[in-house]
Amino acid sequence: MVRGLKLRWLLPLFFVSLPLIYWGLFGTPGQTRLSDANDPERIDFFMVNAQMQQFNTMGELARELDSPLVVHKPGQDVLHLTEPLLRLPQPEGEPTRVRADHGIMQDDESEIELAGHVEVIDNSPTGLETRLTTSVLRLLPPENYAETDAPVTVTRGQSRTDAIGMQAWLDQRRVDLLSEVRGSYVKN
Amino acid sequence: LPDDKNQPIRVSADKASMNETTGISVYTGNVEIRQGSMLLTGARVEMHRDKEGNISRIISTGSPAHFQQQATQNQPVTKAYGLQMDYRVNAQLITITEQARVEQAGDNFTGERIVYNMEKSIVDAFGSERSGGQRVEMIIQPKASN
Repeated sequence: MVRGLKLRWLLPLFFVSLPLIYWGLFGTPGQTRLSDANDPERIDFFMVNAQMQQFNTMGELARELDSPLVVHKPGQDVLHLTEPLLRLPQPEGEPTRVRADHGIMQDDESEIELAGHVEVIDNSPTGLETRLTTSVLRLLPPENYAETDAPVTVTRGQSRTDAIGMQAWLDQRRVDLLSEVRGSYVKN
Repeated sequence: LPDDKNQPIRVSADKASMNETTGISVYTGNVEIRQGSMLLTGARVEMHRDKEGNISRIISTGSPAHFQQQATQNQPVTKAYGLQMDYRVNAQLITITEQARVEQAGDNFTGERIVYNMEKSIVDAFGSERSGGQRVEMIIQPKASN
C-alpha cells in the first residue's frame, strides 16, 4: 500500500522536474528566441545579384557596388559580400574599379574589408591602366582611401613593382609602397 | 654598354610613392637603379615618366649619390659622385652637381658641374660662374707609351 502511494507521487514529480531541469540548462523557450536575436551570425536579409548605387549630398554618383550575393548580419552591423565589384568615380578619367573574392562592409558603408585576389584597377587619363593586386585590403570608400600590410604588386604595361604594405589615395591617384620595394620598368 | 639604354630599368628601395597624375615616382631609402651595366644609387630618387609612360628622367640625391657605367666592353668603368645627379635617359646625358667628381680610367675630374655623355663617354666639366667659386680640376694619369 505504502509502495503504491510512493509511486503515485514519484512519477508525476519525475515528469514535472524534467522540463525544469531542461529550462534551467538551456533557458526557457522565450529566452532561447531572445538569444537568437543577438546571435552575431543571424541573417535578417540577403540580396541576390545586388546592384547598389550611392549618391553624395550633391546628387552625384559616389560609388557603385555589384555583388552576386549580399548577406546582412545585424548582430555585427555588417554586410557580407560575395565577389564584390566596386566602381569609384574619380575627378578625372574612368572610375577606379576594386574587386575581390569576399568583402565585409560596415552598415554605414564607411569601410570594407576585402580579401582574396583583391584588385584595384585604375585607368588614369595620362596613359596605361594601372593594376594593383594584393590578398587583403581595407577600403574606406567615403575617403577614397585604401591600405594593406600584405605584399602588393603594381603593374603598368610591362612594368611591375612589388612591395610589402601599401597606402593608396585613389582620388589623387597616388600609391605609397611601405617597404621592400622592387621594380622593373620596361619600355612600352 | 651601348645596349644599356634598351635594357629594363630595375629599382630597389625601402619605400616608394607613385603618383599616376604627375607621372613621378619617388623612391627613398638605399635606392639602387640598374640598367644594364649602369648603376645609380642615392638616398632619394625621382623617376619621371613621359606621355608614353616610359622613364624619361631620373634625379638622384645622396651624400653622395653615385653613378657608374661601362661605356664599352674594352673600356674601364666610369664612376661619378655628387650630391645630385640628373640623368636624361633619351639624351643619355647625366649632369652631376655639388661636389661633382668623375673617375675615368684613372683620370679624375672635379668641378661645380660635370656633364657626362654616356654614349660618347665624354666628360665636360664646368667651374663656378661666381668669382672665387669652384674651378675645374683634372688629374690625368700618364698613359704608358707604346
